[in-house]
Parts: sequence; structure tokens; C-alpha cells
Amino acid sequence: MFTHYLSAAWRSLKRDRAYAAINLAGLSVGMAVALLIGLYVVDEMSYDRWSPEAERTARIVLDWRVGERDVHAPLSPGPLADTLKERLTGVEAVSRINTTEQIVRAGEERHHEKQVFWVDANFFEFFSLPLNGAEASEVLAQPDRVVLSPRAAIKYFGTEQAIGKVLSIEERPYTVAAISDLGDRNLHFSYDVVAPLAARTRGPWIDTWLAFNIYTYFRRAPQSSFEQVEAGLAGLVSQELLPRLMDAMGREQEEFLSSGGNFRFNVQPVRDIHLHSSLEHELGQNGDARQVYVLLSLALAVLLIASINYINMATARATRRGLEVGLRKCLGAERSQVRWQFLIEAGLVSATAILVAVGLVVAALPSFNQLMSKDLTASGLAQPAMLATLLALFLGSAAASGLYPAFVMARFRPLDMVRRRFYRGREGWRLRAALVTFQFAVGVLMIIASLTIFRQIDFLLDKDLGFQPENVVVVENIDNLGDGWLGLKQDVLKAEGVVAASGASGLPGHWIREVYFVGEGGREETQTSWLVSVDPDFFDTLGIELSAGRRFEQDEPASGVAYIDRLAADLLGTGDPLGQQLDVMTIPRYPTVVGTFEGVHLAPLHQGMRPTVIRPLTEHPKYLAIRVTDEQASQVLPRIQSAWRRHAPEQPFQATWLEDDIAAFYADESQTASLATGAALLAIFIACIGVLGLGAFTVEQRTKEIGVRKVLGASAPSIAALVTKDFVVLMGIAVLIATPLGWWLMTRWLQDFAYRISLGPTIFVSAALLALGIAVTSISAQALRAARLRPARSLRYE
Amino acid sequence: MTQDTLIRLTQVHKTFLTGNVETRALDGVDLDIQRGELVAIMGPSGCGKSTLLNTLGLLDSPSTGSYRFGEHEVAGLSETQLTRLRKGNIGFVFQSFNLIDELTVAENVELPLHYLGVSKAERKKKVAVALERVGVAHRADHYPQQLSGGQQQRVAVARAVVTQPKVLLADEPTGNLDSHHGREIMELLKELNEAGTTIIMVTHSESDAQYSDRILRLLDGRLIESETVRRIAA
Repeated sequence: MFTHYLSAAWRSLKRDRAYAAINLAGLSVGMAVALLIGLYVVDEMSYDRWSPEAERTARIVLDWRVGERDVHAPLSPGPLADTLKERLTGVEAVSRINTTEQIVRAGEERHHEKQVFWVDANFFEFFSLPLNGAEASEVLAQPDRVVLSPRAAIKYFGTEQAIGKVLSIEERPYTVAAISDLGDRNLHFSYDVVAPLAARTRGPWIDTWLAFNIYTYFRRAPQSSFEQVEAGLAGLVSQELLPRLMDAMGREQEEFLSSGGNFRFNVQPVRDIHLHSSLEHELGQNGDARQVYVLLSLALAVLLIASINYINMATARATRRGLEVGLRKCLGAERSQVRWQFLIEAGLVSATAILVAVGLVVAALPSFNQLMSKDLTASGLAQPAMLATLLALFLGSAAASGLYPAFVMARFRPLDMVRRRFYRGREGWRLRAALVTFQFAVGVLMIIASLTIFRQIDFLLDKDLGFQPENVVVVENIDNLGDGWLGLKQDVLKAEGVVAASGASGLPGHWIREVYFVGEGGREETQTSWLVSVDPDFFDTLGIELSAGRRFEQDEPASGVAYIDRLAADLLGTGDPLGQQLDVMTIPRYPTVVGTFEGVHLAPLHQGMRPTVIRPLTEHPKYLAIRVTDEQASQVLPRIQSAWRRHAPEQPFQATWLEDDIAAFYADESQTASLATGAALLAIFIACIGVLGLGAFTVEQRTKEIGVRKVLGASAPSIAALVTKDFVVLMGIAVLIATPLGWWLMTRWLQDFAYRISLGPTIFVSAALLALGIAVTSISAQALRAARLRPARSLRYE
Repeated sequence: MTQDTLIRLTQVHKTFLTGNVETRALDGVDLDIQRGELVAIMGPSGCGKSTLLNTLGLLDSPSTGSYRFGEHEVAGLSETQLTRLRKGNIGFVFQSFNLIDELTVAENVELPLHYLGVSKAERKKKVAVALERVGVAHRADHYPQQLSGGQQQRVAVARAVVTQPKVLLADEPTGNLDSHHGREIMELLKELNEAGTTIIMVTHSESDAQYSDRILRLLDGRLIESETVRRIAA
């Protein structure tokens, strides 16, 4: 009997090829989206999950408030770890990480390492990290050992077989003791070069309580809890740390606390880090739980739209098959047998859809990986969570489309069905219409969202930043040259195509220092501001116009002068800012304001409006900004590099385009925009399939009516209009629902931006027109088919 | 073609292609119909009655041959031209009534006037007259399903004649009715005919055929007999 159902199902699908194809397309695309996002979410949630010990592992997070400044960072002083282990019984083990930026050399191969890990000897054991070539407990026991990632081994030695080879950091030799390949294990940090913390003897800062530059991890004892450790930490702080800190700050503990000051250590379980932590000085690029939720809701929305279609079309088609069911029942089929027939057919379609969806996932993975900066593989579909998802998709879609016809149709009386009494008028139309309206409302909403996001990003990228970011090369790490940076600058200026150059402590798209700006309210009311130290050519190099005041000279006393923008000037009060003494905490003396500038945005626009202070260099700059001519832009980099080679043959050359650096700050938003657009297109695509299906269904249901109308003299256009009209009304309702919702959602989204577009009617009108256009196009095929129906043929139905 | 000839078919053929099988539905039909006639077409199932009626009704065009409707040659006209010619010239009554379920009785009758572009006031007047004439004026605001079969067919007749067409085509108009209601419909058609409407009807019923002036018998797509009905004097 089962094979009979299967072959009946297969033939019935073959007979309605168009139906089967449309149905499958929509469902498969919806499933593929769900699977792709599922892969992403499962990956994001797998961070620090693979090690069983990780459940008891946490890191210590600093929560420090002085005046206006809040510090939230996973940093603590070096001695804390040992003290923890000695004093708190709930702490089973501790391990520390310190990171530095280094030039690492192997033979003549030099590379700039942004993050060398300096760790306690138990590092690999503590985190259960894989090691190849040595025992985890011994690998870093000696201070002249180093562990590399396979990537680093290839970078320095051209091979993963690097054990026993030597590389040097700060001219000290380290022997490669092992290779550590994280493979597909996800951690909240990753490393290339791992060296023993014991080798870091330079500087007293590891042993002092007053430097916060160590990442301290601990594992609690099984019977203990993180809360207990946190309570114990509070005791340690008041005994060991606060007295020392107050001493150093020259303040009294009580006065510090009563003036709003605060100092404490919190415990952060490592499994919470990847998705829920975005502190200053994170060890790696963390994910974002919000992003995961947004993606999950996108996946659900697309899947919902796809299932609605599927249910709509599957049930519409099933009612058409009333005659067949009636006959089967007349011939003796029982309810359960009719049910099974529909369920098996639904199962067949769902299974095929899953297969197609998996194919789509494999095809789409490379671009999806690129978009999401991930490295997902299709083999991930075989992990338990994804297998469960696949099973849920299969059962869910089969049940959704099969259960209604299986149970409703099975109940009808056979003769009614043969006589076609089971269907009257436009029964069921309302439900289907509501579902299609809902689909389109979601589609329109998504179009509104993606249009808004796009316009906002465009706005940010196109906004007048107050300087000219085009054709500016940024060379990094020139502070490694010491005073030699000036020679480099002179040499670079001689190169063909270079117009101007300036050293700077910070640049747009790069790190910019934050300081406390003291306004007319005094030190009680400070405001965070940006501080950039520059040489006199800075204004020319970046193309900044002074709105008042004068330039400064190369030999001007370094901290004597400063330039401020309009926001800073407002904080100083109403008078002329020129000539005023500036109080910027951390600048020891009080520089005099000698110039002002307006509307210059050196920091990313979504960080809000903060005052900006520019002053002459007080130390060696980190960056050299170089303005080049438009014509020479493509050839000028090698010239700058050869200048670099002459001045710093030992150092790796790192240069970027200022414009790219600034755009990189908006990478997150660009990613969101691409995602939203992708999802919107899919939603509309699937909704169109819905319209197509409902259109076909409507035309079929109304064949008789259309025939009668044509016999009575209706013209083809009037028939087409008749079919299209209903849909236009539905689309109109969808737009009415989506527009206020979209306005509300996007207004909230825009609030995260200090500089934002205003939500004018254009976006909503375009979204509405776009959705309407697409819907009318997809219905018009059906409308034309209806209009062309020969009445003689359509009336033969009776 | 005399002044009184409304319809003239000359050697009309109609073939259908179903898969690779060619079916000849009409095989060289010659036929004249005079204004004011009431003609019945009879024949067994599949003899081509419906095809002939559809062709006469401009719902289908002949494969070959000539069809003159009034002063127009119909063969070779496009779908749009057929629709234009059909509007207001030809009324239809079907066996299964073919009323639109979503429209009221009055709206159903009004529909062809809509398509003719008749003004609203005029439409109202004509609909009222037509419904009065077939005796269902009191049901104007009901929906078709709320009416008996006989009443539904009366509405269909009203809809067919509301534009005062030159010819009324009826496809087994009593086929779905009991004998009592069937007789009523035939009386109604006869009345309309006597008032001047040309009527062509397909029927299986010899007693219905007796209402006509002439019976055409069709077999395998050919006209095999045309007999004038001798009425038994009343």
C-alpha cells in the first residue's frame, strides 16, 4: 500500500509540474536561509564550549570609575592571580595572559605581530589547548621557548615543521617547542606566537599592583561558585589594592568613594565572553548576541513566509483534488488511508525541498562566509544541532502542508466531493488573502529596513568629514624609528607624487586618544574628548581649514599651544576661545588656544559628538600621513616603501589608504546592510511565489466566472483588472501595516547614530512602489492567462 | 442572403486536436437562420451540438468555412473583434445557469449592460424591466444560491435578453430543471420569440423541440435533417 501512495504522490506531483516547482523553489530557498543562518548561529554559540573545563573558567574584569571616566576592561594587575589562588579556597587554578605588539624575526624574515601572547607556563593545560610536539605541562617551562600556530610557522619558516627552529623577539632567541593548531575549535581569543610570561623581565609592571595589563583567568573548584569568588575578590581589593591605589592617587578612600569613585573586580565566565562581552581591550574580535538574534529573526521571518506559501499552495491544491478523494472514498478508501496519502505526498515534497536546500547551502556558503567573515563548511550540517534542525524543518513543513488536507479532506462525505459540493464560492480565500497580506507586509518592512540602512551608510560615508580623506597614505609604526621618523618624512616628501606629509599620534580610521576636557564648570564637570598630537604640516596634509587663529611653527614649545573645535569652544564658555588656557587632564601644562576649526570629524561618526583638541607633538608620532596627487596615487606606494627601506631596513612596512581605514569602521553597518538586503530580496522573492500561487489558484477558482463574464462581453483588460484588483488591495493593506511599523523600527535603529538621516517619505513610497510593482508583475502573468481564456473552453468545466 | 437572413453558415468545419488525435466536431455545415425564428438543434452526445452553438455564439471561430452574422463575416476575426460583435448582439442561456455566485440577481443581470457601457440610470431601468418580464423582480437583491433552479434560469434568461440581443442562444435550457419548471422556461422563451427575438436552442427533449419552428438534427458533425414543425392546432 505504501508504494501505491508513493507512486500516486509522485504522479500527482508530476502532473502539476509547475505547482511542484514553484512550491519547491519557495520552500527550498526558505529552508536554505534557515540552514545557513543555523550554521552561523551554531558556530557563534560554540565559542569556549568544546572544553568541559570551560564551564568552571572565568576571567577577571576591572570596573573602575574615576570622575567621568568608566573603565570596563578584562585587565588586572600581575600579582592578583597568585593572591587569588593563595587566599581564596574556591579557586582551583589561575592562568595569566599579557599581550604586546612586537617585531618578530626569524633569520631575515621580519614581521609585525599585533598580538604576541605572553602566558603562564600552565597556559596550554589550563585552557586544554591542542599541542603538537611537547607536553602541555612542560612546553613553556623554560623561558626561552615559544609555541607557534601553523599559520605563524608557515609565515616565518615556510613550513609547519618548525619545531626546534629559532626566532627572536626584541633580539632575544626563542626556540619553537611546539605547534598549536586550534583547528575548528572556537575560542574568544586566537594566537600566533605564544611565549612564556616569565621571559618578560623588562619593566616592573608585571609585579606591581598598580598596572592593569594582565588578563587573569581562574578555574573555580567544583563545589564553589563564581559568586563566592567574586565576594572573595571584593575582600582582596579592599585589603590589597585600594590602599595602594589611593596612595598613588593621593586621595583618601572615603573621599574617593563618596565622590562617585568606584573600584572593583567582577567575574566573567568565559562562555559568556564571545556573545556578551564588548569591553575595552578585548583579546579578540567578539561576536554580538544582538546580531545572532537579528539573524535568527530574519531566518524565522523568511522561513515563515516560505511556509505560508507552502501551506497555502499545498492546501489550495488539495481542495482541487476533492474529486479524486471523493472517488477514492466511494471506492472504499478509509479516512486513515486518505490521510496517509496526503501525508506521504507532503513528506515527499518536504524531503525533496530539504535536499535542494542543502544543495543551495553548499552553493551559497562561499559568499555567505565572505559576507559574515566566517569559515563555515557544509560538513557543519552533520553536527547534532543542525541534524535536529533538518529533522525539524522536514517534519514541520510536511506536517504544516500535509495535516490540513489529510484531516479536513478525509472528513468530507464522498458524494459531496464527487458532486463538487465541498467547495463553495470563495471559501478559504480570506485566510489565504490574510496570509499573503502578512507575507507582503513582512516583505515591505524588510525593503524599508534595507533602504534605510543603505541610505544611512551612504550618508555616513559621504558626510563631509571636515577634511579630505582621499589620496592619503597612512604609514604605521613610525615611532619605532625614534627621531629617525623626521628623516623618513623628508625623504618621502622628495618622492614624486607626494604633496604633503605629517606625523600624528592618531588618525581617523585608527586609534585616537581620549582625554578629559575641563570646561568652564571646572574639574568636577569633565567631558571626554579626542586628542591628536601632530606636526605643523598636519592641517595641509589632511586639508583642514582653520576657522580662526594661526598655524604653529616647528620650534614652538611643544605643549604651549592647542587648537580646538566648536564643541570644545562651547565648553569653555561664551568668550573668544583664542588665548584661553586649556585644561586637558593628562596634559601636564595648560596650553593656550591659538586656533579653532569647525566640523572636523576625526573619530567615527557613530561614536557621537565629542570635542576635539589638536596640539603639537610631544613624543614620536605613531603614524605618518602622506597626501599624494590623484594622478600618482597608483604608483606612489612603492616609492614610499623604498624610502621606508632606507630608513628602517629592519622594520616591516605597513601602509594603508586613509579612505579604506575610515570605511573599515563602517564594516559592521555594511555587513548589516548586505544582510538586510539579502533577506529583503529573499522575502520578496518568496512572497512573489506566494502571489503567483494564490493568483493561479484564484484564476482557477474563478474560471467559470471569468468565462461567464467574457460571454457577456467583458474585454481582456477588464478581466485582467478583475484578477489584479484583489491583489492590489491586499498589497495596499500590507503597505499600510508595514509603513508605520517600519517607521517605528527604523527610527529606533537610527537612534544609535549621532549623525543620521531623517526618515522622509521617499523611503516608504519607494518601498511601497517597489513591492507593488513586483507583486503586480508576478500576478500579471496569471491575469493575462485569465484574460486569454477562451470562454467556450472555460465553460466546458461545468 | 435575403433581408431576413440573420445567420448564414457555409461549409463550416471545426476540428480539435487533442494530443495527436484530430476530432472533427463540425464537418461541412451549411445553415441559414431567419430573423424571428425559433430553431432547435438536436442530436446524440458528441454530435457537435455544443460546438455549433459556440460557433454561432461567436465563442469559437470555425476552422474553415464562412460564417456571416448579419452583414459581418465572422471567420478570421480576432478575439477582441469577436467580443465586440458579441456584446449586445447575442445573449446566452446555459444548462447550468452560470450565474456568478458573488453577485446578486440584479447585479448578474446588470453585468452585460456594464460591459456595453450603458449609463447607471439606464441600467437600473433595463434590469427592472428584464426581471419583471421573467417574473423574479421580487428576488432582485438575493444571491443565486438562495433561488430555486427554475428561478435561477429565469434570472439567466433576464440577463441574456437585457441588452435586447439580435439572437438568444440556449444550451439545454431545461436540462437541469424538473418538468414543471422546464415548461415554464420554455413558455418564457416562446413568449420572447413571439415578441421578436431570434432563438437558437440545443436540446435533448423532443417536447422542448416542439416549441420551435424548425428542428435541425446533427450527427457526427453533419446536419442530416431540417424539419419544419407542424404545430397541432390549438
